[in-house]
Amino acid sequence: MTTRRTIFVCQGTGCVSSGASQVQRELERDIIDHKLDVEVRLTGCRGFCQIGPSAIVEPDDILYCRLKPADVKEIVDSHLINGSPVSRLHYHDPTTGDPIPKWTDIPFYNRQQKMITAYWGFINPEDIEEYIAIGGYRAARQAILAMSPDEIIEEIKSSQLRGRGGAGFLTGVKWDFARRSDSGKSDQKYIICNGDEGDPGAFMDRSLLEANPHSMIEGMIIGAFAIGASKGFIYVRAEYPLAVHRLEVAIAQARMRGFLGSHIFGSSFDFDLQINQGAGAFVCGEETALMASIMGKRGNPRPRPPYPASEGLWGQPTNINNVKTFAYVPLIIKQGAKWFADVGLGPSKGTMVFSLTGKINNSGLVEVPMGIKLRQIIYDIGGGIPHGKRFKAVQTGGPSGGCLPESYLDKKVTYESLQAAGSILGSGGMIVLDEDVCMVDMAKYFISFTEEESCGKCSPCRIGIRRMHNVLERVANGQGEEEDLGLLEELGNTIKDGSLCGLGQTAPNPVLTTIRYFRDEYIAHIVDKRCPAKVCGSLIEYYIDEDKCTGCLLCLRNCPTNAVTEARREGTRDIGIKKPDKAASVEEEKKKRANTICSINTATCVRCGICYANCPHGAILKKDRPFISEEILAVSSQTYV
Amino acid sequence: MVELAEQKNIAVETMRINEKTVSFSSGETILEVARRSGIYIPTLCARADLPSPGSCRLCIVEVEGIKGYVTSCTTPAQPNMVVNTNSPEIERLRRGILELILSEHPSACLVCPIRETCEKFDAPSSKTGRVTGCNMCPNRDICELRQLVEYLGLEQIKYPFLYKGFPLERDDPFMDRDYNLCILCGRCIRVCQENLGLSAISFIRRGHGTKVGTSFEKPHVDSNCVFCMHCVDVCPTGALTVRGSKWYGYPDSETSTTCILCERGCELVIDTKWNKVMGAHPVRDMSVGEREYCVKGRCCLPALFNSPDRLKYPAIRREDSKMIYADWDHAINYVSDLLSHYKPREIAVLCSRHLTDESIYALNEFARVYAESNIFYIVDRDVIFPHVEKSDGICKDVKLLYLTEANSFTNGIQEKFGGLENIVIQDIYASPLSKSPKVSAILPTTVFTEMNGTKTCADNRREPVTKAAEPPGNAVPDWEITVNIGNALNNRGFKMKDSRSIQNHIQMHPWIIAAVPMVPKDSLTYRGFPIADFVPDFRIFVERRLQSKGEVRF
Amino acid sequence: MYEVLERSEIFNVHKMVIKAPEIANSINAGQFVIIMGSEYSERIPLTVSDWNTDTGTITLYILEAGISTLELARMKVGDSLYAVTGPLGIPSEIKHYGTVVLGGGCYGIGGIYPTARACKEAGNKVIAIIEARYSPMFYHEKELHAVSDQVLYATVDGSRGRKGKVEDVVTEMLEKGIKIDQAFFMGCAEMLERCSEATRPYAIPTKVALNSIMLDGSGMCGACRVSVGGETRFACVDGPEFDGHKVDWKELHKRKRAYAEQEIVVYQSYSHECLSEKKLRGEL
Repeated sequence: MTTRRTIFVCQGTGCVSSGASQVQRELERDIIDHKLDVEVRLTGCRGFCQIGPSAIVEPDDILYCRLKPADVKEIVDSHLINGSPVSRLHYHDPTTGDPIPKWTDIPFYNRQQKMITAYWGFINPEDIEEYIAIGGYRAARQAILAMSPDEIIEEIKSSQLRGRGGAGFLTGVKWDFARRSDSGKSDQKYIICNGDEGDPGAFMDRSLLEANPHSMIEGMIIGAFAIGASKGFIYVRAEYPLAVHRLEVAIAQARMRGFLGSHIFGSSFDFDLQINQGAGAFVCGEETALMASIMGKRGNPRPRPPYPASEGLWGQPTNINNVKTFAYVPLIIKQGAKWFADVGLGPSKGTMVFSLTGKINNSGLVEVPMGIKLRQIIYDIGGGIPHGKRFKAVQTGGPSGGCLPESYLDKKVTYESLQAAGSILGSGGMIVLDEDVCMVDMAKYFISFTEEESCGKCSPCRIGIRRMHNVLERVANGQGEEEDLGLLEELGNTIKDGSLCGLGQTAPNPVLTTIRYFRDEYIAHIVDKRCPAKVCGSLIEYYIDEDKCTGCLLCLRNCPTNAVTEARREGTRDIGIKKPDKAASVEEEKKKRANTICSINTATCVRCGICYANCPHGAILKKDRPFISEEILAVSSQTYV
Repeated sequence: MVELAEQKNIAVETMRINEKTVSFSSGETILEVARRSGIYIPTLCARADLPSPGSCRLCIVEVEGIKGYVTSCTTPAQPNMVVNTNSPEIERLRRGILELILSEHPSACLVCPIRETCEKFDAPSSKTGRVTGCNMCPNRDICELRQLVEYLGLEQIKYPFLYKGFPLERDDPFMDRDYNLCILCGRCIRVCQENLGLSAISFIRRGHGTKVGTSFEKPHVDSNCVFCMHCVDVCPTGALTVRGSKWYGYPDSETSTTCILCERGCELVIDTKWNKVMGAHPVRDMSVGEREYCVKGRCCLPALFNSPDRLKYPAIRREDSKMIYADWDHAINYVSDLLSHYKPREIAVLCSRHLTDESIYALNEFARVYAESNIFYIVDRDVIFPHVEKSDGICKDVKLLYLTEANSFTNGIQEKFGGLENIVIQDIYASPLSKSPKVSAILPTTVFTEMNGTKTCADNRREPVTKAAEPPGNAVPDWEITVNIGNALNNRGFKMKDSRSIQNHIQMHPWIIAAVPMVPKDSLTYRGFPIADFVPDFRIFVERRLQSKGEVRF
Repeated sequence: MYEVLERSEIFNVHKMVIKAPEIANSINAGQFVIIMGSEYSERIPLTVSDWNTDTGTITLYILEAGISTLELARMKVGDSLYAVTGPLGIPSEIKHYGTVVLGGGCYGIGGIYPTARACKEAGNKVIAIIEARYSPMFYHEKELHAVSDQVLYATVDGSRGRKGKVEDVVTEMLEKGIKIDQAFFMGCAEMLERCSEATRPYAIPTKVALNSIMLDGSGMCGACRVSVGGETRFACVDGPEFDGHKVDWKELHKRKRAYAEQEIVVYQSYSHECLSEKKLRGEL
């Protein structure tokens, strides 16, 4: 008996950029050619980005990983026609190497607790009917027809849902402010969805909009009804074209079904949505800057009070929430506040979606209950550190957060615990760092990011962050001075306490936490002029291990500064090409090759790392650069533009 | 405060600032309340009557119940708020922020211990392009950064000095801009937006490279900037300056007067140095909303009034037809004698609209007694006789003209006066008409900065005009010449002795001044002379503006 | 004629390389030229900091300090100067002194270079001391290093070298007992006075290059008159270098302020249009 199968092919941006569209086309073509009764469905991101492009075959629950169009033939022949799954394309446990065919058996999936990511990878984001089929828009109908705005707000309040954009403010309370705000000039109120996900490495919001945009839209509809807004804006960064496209499709379909527009569900409630695209500014993820951008002004934040709930867009009460926050709302309305509040720890209720990236075996998006230990996320779900390297730190909260060391692995993740440690939960970015990462370099990277993205309005952020960056550059180049640590801390505190908006107030966090937990690395850079992780270019040298080098000349051919030269292995004789005969010269070539090694000239080497990353024999190694004062120190440490 | 509120029926609430209970009305910010109560909070970007951005962060205070620090210039006062404006923490933070601001401003002099001796000893201004220290800065005496450094007791800046390296912007008329001194307080942008609604400038670029500029960084003369200099007057540093008046330092005297170049009658303070009008600026604490002065009064007066071509000595025509210089007695007698040969119907008086009320009144009275009220004004090449019923037939009967605005008496108008035999010119500069053989006397007179008086402006305001400098040579105010001529003609109908009697007359005959056509704000002349002829930068501005927009706005 | 070949600026000091072959061929260290930017410009004297007989060019470092130098600062490569007269003045007295100290501030940093070079060629030990308010304001350093045995820096804010001015460095040297056989100073009049006072107690022969107001430059008008040792001298034909210990500084400072009023009043009717345009319109 043949079972009718369905193949769900992930078409989130990550997989699309790795060729998922071609894989899907190949599948469809092959299936038609073979006249098989198999349906191929497009879905959004299912979270396990490490192994994309991926496809799930139902009802077998089989997950296929790292697909290429060439693999399709084997899947069709072996699995779809002959019923035998292709083992080499299964997920393999990173430590044992054993294949795990069913996705339900993979710890990455079954250790998660899925609320808002529940249907990712199983519904077509561009078909509203599929969302409705899984119960979509029922919560909105219930809210608008059977509940009052006060009741809705009470429900959200009891769930203790907190904003998932980073600030963690109680959503129900925020909605209440907006609801009770006196509209002043007119009755108009606004609701905004903040989709300007700017943290480097964060892609939860993007994936949600690409996998299940209706869940967010439904949340906005409920929120708008609760606070009394008739107009909503979705501010998405322009760097997410696929998300924008899927939103446009979703909004159009929702309008056609009457979920947006006038008299929604036949009630007196009117509400419609507009998409505004960002223009390349991280600072526009800050709510007041975002509102300025929507109003067509320069994206500068403004001081609060007054808060957006009393004076927002065009002076009217406005409520802003993150993409993920809105996605929780329909679930809470449908399943009740207690269902949500039963999960979590202390005042941090429900689940949290993290983007787990960095030095980790299983990178992707994971949804876990609040209060889970960091160790569980990183090792149980994440599969631990690849290549047998040692864990060093985990960076949470993006450029606003901090790096936590090994001693924090057993901390239970909540808003409060991370804040007490000096970091923040943020919007869910989690970057795992191993022993090969230099913490000074990490801090420098994040500061350079915030320096670039600072809007320039207030002096502490505009000037102070640049100064911090200058100091870190000096330290990383071996020009650090004793006072630099104290200077960084003092600058950091001035910027934190003096800045106008969250960007400035949190920008020093990566630096301050790395100084707090990895002070010895800073001291090594400053006093010993040494980079323990051997990352900072000015403090290391590349050299070639003669025993491992085979003279393949790959490094020489790719060196951008011609710092690699050919040399003869010590103790060997120079074999010149004596015989022009082709066959013989091949022999001689081989002998010559065996006696050839490469050597790196430190003076010309710029430590780009190309040779190090590509040597097939692992023959290129790093060592500490001996400290030579005149060479490294500049004549004057002044900066003149 | 409470009594005032009761009078006005405003809701009064109280709050505590630094252990002191103060009252406030809703809508005020903490900063406004503090200022009113005599509590000092340092600020840089905030300015009364301009919306506050809260960007310099110097005015931060602690508010009970709010985490961290808030800027007092943006936070609305709330009932029962408890505010602390000063503590060691706040002071440390303010000092840290000021240090950061100063590390990107040429500030070595600001924190130098021997600054005072150096400035006393140093030669006067070195008139350089790039400012590298307080000594070369035209803003030195009124710089707000200096005041802050003194208040906070800042003695050193621990960061290496960063010079931003922006090119100097000196190609526009009137204005020099050195954005290397700019601390990005944004006051200039806000005043341009609020006052004139022009928004000629804004913040451009972002992050550390932010600067103030026009759209597409066009020169101001090609944007919609009207060079009113309001931005220059609110700038706390020397980044924005008026080129013509930045180097003379402390003036010898400052005189508050009214600009009478147009009907607005803006209050201006005239700086006098070396006995010359050197510059004009608004009253230092003038509220932003009151600012109305334009480029003409603000920048053009010195060049307009100090030209060496000013008429200095009376000149009369001798029998042999040569013009010779004379003293006032001779000149007055000559003119009065000349006038006595004509019937009142044959005399007409051209009154300039740019005269003070006293001068206008004296001319009107003269015309009433000696010229059958044939006094006229020239408005846009039209001749207006306000006190005569039918003016058509007058001109051809006129044989002698007493002019106070000779440059407006152009060919087109001259043609109307076909029977003209004699002209008496009372003016400040020579004009093409001066060369006419019909001119019998040229009497030098003063401009409004060289005399006392009053001027009736728009909305029926009567503003004072105060003497700020001595007139050149023997020039004498218009009203005085007219009164002397009138008295010399010995007609008892003309009863003016001195300025006080003129005042009485004006009070009793207000319709005289009311009949004077007002000078509109977009006027380009003074007493008939195009300002562009005397002030090269003004000519550039007018030409470019006419080219690009077809009209000149102020 | 007198085309500008090279232009650059470091903080108010404008480098200008001008084509002037006759002057380049006949000029010596310590001499100056008088230039006019355009037909109606003022005549101003400027020290020549370098010259090249092969290319026929002279190099001037012009400190912007008023209307005339502002007009020069506006000139770009390709513009031409209206007139360049020189070389004027008596060249520096170059002989084998022993140890020569040359101190320069503002335009003097470039101005002392030819004298330093000539002293070096005459076999002297050359110590150059240059001062500025901040470290980025130094210029012409490479060339100075090439002709000096030692180059000492002094900055007001301490960002480079010794915190202070040239006279502080000189005083320190003299207190340490370093033997100086001859001193040359070039800079603003206040600096020259202070440096001369620093060398006076040790009776070091000191030459200062005065920057008096100057008009004709050939000894006729008397504008550059200066009292040296009680006697009347003219900076254009008897100078520009004089014995620093004999100059009547008070008189010099006063004479330099003679036109302070006019120098400032002129800004009121100044416009950035070039003067020849004004002439075309009949204004001049």
